[in-house]
Amino acid sequence: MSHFSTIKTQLKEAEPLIKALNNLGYKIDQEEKFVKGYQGKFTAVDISMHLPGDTEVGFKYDKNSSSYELVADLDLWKFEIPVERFISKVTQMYAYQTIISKTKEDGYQIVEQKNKNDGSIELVLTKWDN
Amino acid sequence: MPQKTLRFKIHQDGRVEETVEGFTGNSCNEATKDLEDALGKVTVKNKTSDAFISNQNEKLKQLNKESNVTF
Repeated sequence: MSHFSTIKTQLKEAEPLIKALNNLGYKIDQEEKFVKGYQGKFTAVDISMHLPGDTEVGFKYDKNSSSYELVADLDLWKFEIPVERFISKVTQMYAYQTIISKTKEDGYQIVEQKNKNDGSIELVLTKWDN
Repeated sequence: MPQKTLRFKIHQDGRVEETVEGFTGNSCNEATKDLEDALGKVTVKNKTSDAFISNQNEKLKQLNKESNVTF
């Protein structure tokens, strides 16, 4: 039996999220734990960083959704890509990191990886049964 | 010994399409349960049989052959 699934990725864990941010070239600030959020209010975050263009963003763990949410003052957003696109990029890389690390733990090997024209990443992994 | 194959298409918005092949019985569900839990919410799940997939592949190969136009 085989199956086909579609999964909506959620930023559930810190480790793959930090890996994804590093992989995209964003540098995380270890010190700063407050970021200006909605209406310029300082908000405690778990991960904070500066994006080029001096845009400060953070990720805060939300217990209700059991996932990390972006904290940023959108009035001060100066980064080269819109905030929605930024979240998409981070989520795509998070999914990639999660798949790579979980399948490696299970003994799978990457046999193919392609960046497609539509911006998607295609991955094929295999394992021989024993 | 069958080869197990996982195929992923990670869309730009982070949506993941996953195809799991080469498992016997329901073991394919267990094989990727942890991964699916780690990723997020499964929104669509369809069971397919390997026979169906290989039939489709044969059909595709045939179609490709037929539509191969050389100039």
